[in-house]
Amino acid sequence: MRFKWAADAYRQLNGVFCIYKPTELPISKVIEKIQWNLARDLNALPCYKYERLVDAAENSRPSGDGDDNDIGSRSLLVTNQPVVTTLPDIPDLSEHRLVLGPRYIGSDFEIWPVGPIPKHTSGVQVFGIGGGRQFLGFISRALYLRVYHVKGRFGWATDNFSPKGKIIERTTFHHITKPKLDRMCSIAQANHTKLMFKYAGVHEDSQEAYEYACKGLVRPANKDMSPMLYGVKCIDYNLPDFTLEIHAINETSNYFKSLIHDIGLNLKSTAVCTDIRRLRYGHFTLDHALLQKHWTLENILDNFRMCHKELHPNKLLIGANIEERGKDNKLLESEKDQKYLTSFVNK
Amino acid sequence: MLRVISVSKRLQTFDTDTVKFLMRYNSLLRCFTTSFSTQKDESRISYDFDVKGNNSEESRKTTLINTEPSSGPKIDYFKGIHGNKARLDETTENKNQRHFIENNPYNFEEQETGLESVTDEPVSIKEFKPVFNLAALVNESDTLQKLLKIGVDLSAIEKYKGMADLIVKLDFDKDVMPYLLFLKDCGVHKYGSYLAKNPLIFKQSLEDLQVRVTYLESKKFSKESIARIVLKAPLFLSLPVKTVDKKLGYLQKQFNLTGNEVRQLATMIPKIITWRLNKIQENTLYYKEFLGFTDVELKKILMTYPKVFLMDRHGVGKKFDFLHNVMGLDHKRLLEWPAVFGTRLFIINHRHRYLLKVKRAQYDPEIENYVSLQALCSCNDREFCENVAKTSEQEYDAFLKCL
Repeated sequence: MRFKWAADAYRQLNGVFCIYKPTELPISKVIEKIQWNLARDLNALPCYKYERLVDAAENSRPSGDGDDNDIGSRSLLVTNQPVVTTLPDIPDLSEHRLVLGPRYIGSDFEIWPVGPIPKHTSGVQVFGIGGGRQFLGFISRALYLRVYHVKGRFGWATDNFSPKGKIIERTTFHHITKPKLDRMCSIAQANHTKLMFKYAGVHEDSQEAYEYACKGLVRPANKDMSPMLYGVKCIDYNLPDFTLEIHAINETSNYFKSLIHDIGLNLKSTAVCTDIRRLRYGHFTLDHALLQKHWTLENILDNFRMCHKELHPNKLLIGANIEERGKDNKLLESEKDQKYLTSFVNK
Repeated sequence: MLRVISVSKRLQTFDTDTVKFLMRYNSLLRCFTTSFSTQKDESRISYDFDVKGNNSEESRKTTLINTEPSSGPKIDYFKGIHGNKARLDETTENKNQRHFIENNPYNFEEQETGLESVTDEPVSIKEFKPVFNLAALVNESDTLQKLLKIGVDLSAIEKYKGMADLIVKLDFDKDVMPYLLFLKDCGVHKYGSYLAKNPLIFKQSLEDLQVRVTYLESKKFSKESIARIVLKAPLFLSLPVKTVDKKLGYLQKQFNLTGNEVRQLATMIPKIITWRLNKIQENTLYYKEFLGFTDVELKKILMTYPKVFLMDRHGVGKKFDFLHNVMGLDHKRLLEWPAVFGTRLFIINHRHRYLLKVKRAQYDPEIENYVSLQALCSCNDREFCENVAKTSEQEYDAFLKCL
């Protein structure tokens, strides 16, 4: 165990971390699970005034058969692990764990998501906890490019575009070929590229547009604009299944589902979106993401170190229309804030 | 306070110390009252002491002497207290707070006996300020300290409505000890964990408890199994014998169990005795009619992994659907290790898909490289990767990020 005192660990729980959200688990449940895990891990450490970590071997000797009365030995049955015990003959019994109950409960940890993905979508999901939540606004305003793998299947249509809905139509798909699908993908991409400057809020033929384009990716003006697809590519084709790799900003899962449906219709068939997976959220990639079994205190604290490197102002404050974002601009100008940011990142 | 009045009555002389003491008590009382009710209350009448006491010493004496014969202050005091208590109850009810004082048995005692105790005998009632949990009382209460010593989780007990009041009222030697001795006779030694789970045992009479244990003895349960049943199903001691008999009778009749099998079952999973009967019935129906298990198969599941009958049937249904329709296992295969229904679905799902990927998903025992359900589910990820999938754990983790 890295900590000898729960409050030390709790104080460090301020930051941004990144998980791999499994499918079929809504984001609210994910937050609940993480909160529950954190409370469990912190409560296994000494929390109250008269609690200490004692080696398991030492602990079992004096107490003998009275082990059952000991809350520490109940929570950690692994041998050779230090266990939490309350000192014998403590002067103030109202500080006892059996009187006060567990020190930490789930709602002690405030966790907010940024760019949340819905229940049936899996993939990289960034969260802020405690003081780290202040970065979520920057991350959200940075309008990072997100990469998705969207799977579809030809031959049927459902009422809500998902495979769980009611099947309303069955169609043939043997006339579809890879080039035809590729053509549809590039049409979808081209239609969005046409609107790129319009969403960015500049005229296509203006000097401004030229300057925007020079600076890199032309992003939408803000996060409330309609979805913008930058790249649609078929990476796997095995009739009736196919997989598209989509680069997008301001996307929603429902938009992808309807895109697959539209592609199906345009190919004179029908298609249903079977799976959506987010591989990347800006600088946050699969390498950063924690699997469900790793949603524990120590892993999350380790994950902070990885994710905080991605919070450097150079990475956060990107995009063509950087001058327009007053708040972020101030942050660049004010030295105090910048120092704070960098100190946070270097921690 | 009661003491103060009675003492002052007996002495009939009012030296300055008594008056000071009364004043201090009065201000304490005011703190007590004003902290909970902001309205003007009747107890204000008794503040005459304070107001007049601010004058010279003589005037204090005179007011006291004046009020004494008419026995005004006495009644006013109690009016004040009762008035406050009543209002206290109102405010707490309004706020929907489950406040400690609301059900405090001490209040009711005082209301009933308070006026009588104004008479000369000193009363040894300890006045507690209203508190929000037992932590405030644990340093003063001997009973609570002793309960703590035997490992009772007081924080768990106070979550039961009205339980904190019951516990505070108890006297350890008189009220708790008999129950501990009874539990010891039953063979239960983890008093702490028992009392934390079923503090309501203090409301039951010892004869009733004895009747329930005698029932098990009459059904030829061994001493060890009685101890296990009492400890693992704490509510058993609170259930009438009739209900328990009905449940055991149902299980025996439904699954054609012999006497020995019933005893074995109840010892294996004592919770089944305190579980709601209609839930078990609904589960049985669901497994039989929806999942297609026969009576004999259900009996085998009941005797090997009875927890299935206490679980949420829809969760079991989902797992069955995956095992049967996706992994292609028939009922016979599932019966080999029914504990698979206790594994979380996503674990089965992930591991099966990984085995498919590494081409090791082979669940037929007659062909080589057979993967049993137990090997699939009953180990952690590292062991699974080493022994079953024969790959490294990193590869498995990378695969999980592709789902």
